[in-house]
Amino acid sequence: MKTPWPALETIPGLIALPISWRNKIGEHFENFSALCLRPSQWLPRSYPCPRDPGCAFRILPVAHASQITCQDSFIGICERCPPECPNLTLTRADITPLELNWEKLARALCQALGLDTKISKLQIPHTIQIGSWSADAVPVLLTIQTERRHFRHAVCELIARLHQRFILLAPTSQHFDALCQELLSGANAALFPLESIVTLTPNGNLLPTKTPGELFAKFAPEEKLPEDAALRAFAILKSMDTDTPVRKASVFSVFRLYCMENLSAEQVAKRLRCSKGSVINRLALIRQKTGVDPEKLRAYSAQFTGIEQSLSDSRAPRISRQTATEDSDSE
Amino acid sequence: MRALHLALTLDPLRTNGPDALDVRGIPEIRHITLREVQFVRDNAFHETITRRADDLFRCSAVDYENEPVVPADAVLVHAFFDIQFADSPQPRSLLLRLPSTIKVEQDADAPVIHRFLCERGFALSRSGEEARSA
Repeated sequence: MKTPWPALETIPGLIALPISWRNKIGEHFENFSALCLRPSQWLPRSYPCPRDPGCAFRILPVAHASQITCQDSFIGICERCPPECPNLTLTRADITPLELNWEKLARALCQALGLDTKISKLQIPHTIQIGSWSADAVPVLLTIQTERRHFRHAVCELIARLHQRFILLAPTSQHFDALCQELLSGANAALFPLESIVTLTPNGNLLPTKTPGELFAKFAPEEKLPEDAALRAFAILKSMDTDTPVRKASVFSVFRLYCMENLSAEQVAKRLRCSKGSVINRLALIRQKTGVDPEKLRAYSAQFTGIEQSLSDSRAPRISRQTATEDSDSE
Repeated sequence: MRALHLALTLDPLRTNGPDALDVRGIPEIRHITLREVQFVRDNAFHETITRRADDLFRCSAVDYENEPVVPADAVLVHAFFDIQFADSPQPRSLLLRLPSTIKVEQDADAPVIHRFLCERGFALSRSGEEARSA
């Protein structure tokens, strides 16, 4: 059975005549139309030829004997000279294009997936924010692209602009290649294809295939370290660089790449041009000094980033490494 | 150019890429180059795009990092090829236009071209009788 979602990735501009939508969506046309299509104000000049894809019928209003054109009757004349197909009689409904109603689709998705509705345009082609998830307000975005490279551009632009984890929805995963996967996982983001997370009901509503909590488990609110504990861990690691300087792969650099940027040990080694063994040694040192597994520290990456940003602000109060480490010793 | 008629599809260009033009098993042809495609974007505007190059597949591989010559959402309308026959130093042209038009430069090329179209999946019917002069 056809699902309606792949059709969205085959219509450039997401506006087409009803016959084109119907051909692509099949039995779901009525439900899908009720869900998120709306008639456009613009009337086209051509009607597709069912016999020859390169040809079309020219649409003209029907003129009556009184020379007054009828507003709702049209005639389709074969563009070929001489004409190869007989004229077509068309109604206004036949030639009124249907376009995607982004807002309506966004609201239906938010309702089905338990999101807080926040619709905003991002100036990225065919990409909008539809809502947010959880108490952390993780942005949920919808992108509909007809070509793989456009999908990749949208992913890159989202990562460059948002600087935080996000949930990306797309009709299908057909444009989701290894590069996009790498980009999204590096940004703590993930793609959820609509064709696998929602189903369209006969009355034009959407139902999730799993509970939203299960679907977006990875994006559950982040557990936070107490402010002072996070600050202390950060300070300990920062101070280790000055107390025991090393030539390659400083402890803080490893902490930064592994815990804050979520790179693997191998990627960190590559980035710092050292051996993977050196990285593993530094991770062991981080575990020893902070008492927390570096893997678990990744859960607080946003918090560490916040601390780092506040410390880099010239107006921020200076962190006292000595005080921080003394406090930890006294505990 | 002489026109023949045979039910056609241009889908092999999309699904098989340059392999659609493989001429192994047809000794009369040395190689075939895709020179031009025309396709329609399937939306309300009936946008028609023609892409032309000396070698479209090679151009796409170099310039567009192997992006397909024809976008996935487009409907192919016609394709123009240069065919280098074994008996001639000059390539001869072949035009395939959906749904069923084949234009060849020389009548004598028709049987070989028909065999190529059938073997590479461009002909929807394998019956040689269908190819009749227009």
